[in-house]
Amino acid sequence: MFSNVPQAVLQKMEDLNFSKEIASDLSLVPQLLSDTLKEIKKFHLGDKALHDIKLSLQEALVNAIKHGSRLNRVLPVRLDVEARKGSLVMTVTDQGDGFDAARLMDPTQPGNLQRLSGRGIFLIRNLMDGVEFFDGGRKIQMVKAFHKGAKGEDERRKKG
Amino acid sequence: MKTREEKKADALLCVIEGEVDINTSVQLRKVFDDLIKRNEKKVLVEFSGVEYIDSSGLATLIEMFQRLKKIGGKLRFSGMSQKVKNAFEITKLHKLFEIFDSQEAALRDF
Repeated sequence: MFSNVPQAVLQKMEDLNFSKEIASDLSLVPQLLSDTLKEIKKFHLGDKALHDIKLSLQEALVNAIKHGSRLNRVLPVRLDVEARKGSLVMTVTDQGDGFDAARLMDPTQPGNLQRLSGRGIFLIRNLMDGVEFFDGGRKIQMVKAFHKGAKGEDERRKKG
Repeated sequence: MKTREEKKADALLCVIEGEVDINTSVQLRKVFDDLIKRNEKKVLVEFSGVEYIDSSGLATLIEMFQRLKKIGGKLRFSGMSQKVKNAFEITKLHKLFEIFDSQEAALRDF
């Protein structure tokens, strides 16, 4: 079933489980991303999957710091990464006021195409295989699956 | 992220290398500010050295597109890797921007 990742690697992946916390400071994001990807890279998931993970984590962390914590350095932002049955589950939690994810605009609508914000969560939803919000929008859980049929570039291209 | 500029006939080539994200897009905006001040109206951005772009980077490009349009200018892109182009395709920004495979093709279009 998990065709593009060797079985031995998948078994090792089950050991992947870590949490990191940073202050709400955008300049701390690159280091957190770099440390996190270093752990994930051990599993040889391929360039495309790593790129999708990096971009989704970046967007989720920036949203948490900018819109959740409103750049208040005192408020921590937490990242949890865990491998579960051939999937990578990444959760970003902030201490802000939350938001209603159902009310986000569609940035691809002609009237929104030139708007300067509102693409972060849209990108995440397209790059990940599953996205869920909890605790009134303070927690975003992103799932990247590593098996046949996982959302990929070709699949999205077909959808146009 | 690094940028360098080169004059190509009446167009200005701006080569970007590295990652365009929320931290580096501040620097990119300054480069674009300078091009607008110098009244450069045909701007080609070369992306072959760009490994990664996030939503803040995309917003910086939209802003430049709008500013150039206001003064009758044109913005063209060339040399994008599929990984970078993917972010434009997902957000449908490939329909807003003029994206070319090569610098030559983009320069011919000005």
